[in-house]
Amino acid sequence: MTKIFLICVFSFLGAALRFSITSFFNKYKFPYGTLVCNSLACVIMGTSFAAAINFVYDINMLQNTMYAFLGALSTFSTFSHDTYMLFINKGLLHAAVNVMLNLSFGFILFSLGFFGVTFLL
Amino acid sequence: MKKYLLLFLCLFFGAAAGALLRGQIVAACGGFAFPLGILLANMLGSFLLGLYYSTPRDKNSYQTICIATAFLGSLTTFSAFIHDIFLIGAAYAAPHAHFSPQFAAYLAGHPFSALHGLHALLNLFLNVVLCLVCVYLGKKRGFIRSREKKP
Repeated sequence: MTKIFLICVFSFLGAALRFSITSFFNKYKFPYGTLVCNSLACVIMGTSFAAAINFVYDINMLQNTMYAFLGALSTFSTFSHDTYMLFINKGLLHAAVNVMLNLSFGFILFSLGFFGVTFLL
Repeated sequence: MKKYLLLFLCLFFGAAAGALLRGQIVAACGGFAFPLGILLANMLGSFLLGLYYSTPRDKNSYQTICIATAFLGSLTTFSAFIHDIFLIGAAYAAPHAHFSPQFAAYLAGHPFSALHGLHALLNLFLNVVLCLVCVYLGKKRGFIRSREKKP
């Protein structure tokens, strides 16, 4: 019961944060809002995973709080749909740039967060 | 005031349903070494989002916020996808890299340690391509309807 309650609350927080970020970036043609959300979720995931691994590892607590929050903050469906619409409306180059930006920012920021926390602390 | 209450209810129930469904899918696919659960959740969410946007929608309506933003955005995830790619790569590089003892012990006990490093690229490729295909299929309302329309 506590698990379900925690997942509900943290996923609501993630979805509300993503909703506010995407509304803030609404005026641009390129989907910057989704890019910012995914990058932010990846850097928080890297730091929290490194902290959990190196200090106190509780997989249930991590899954119930951080993975629910970050899973709701980051999104793949809107990213796929944006890429599809960019491909239809603006061509292959814009769609490929969107995919490459999301993947490289996500992976680089995850690694930076992970190794930063591991080596600095 | 009523506007914010409605917004809160849409976001809360949509996000909670999405996150719980993703948890169930990931737990059901927990027996495999490959991260199939995230792949299935992403494909399902992408297909449903394509299906939702197969007719013109108002992007600021409560319906869109509840279904597209909250439920499907919470069902699909990008951070866990990057996390799995990182873990597969790290588990493959573990014998030659100088990780912290805790992380090395975690990787040695993880099912991803049985995978090759190229499985990370396979996971990346499968997620991106299959989710785009799922959006396309959803937009076209699946194979069956699009076949029926042809003369």
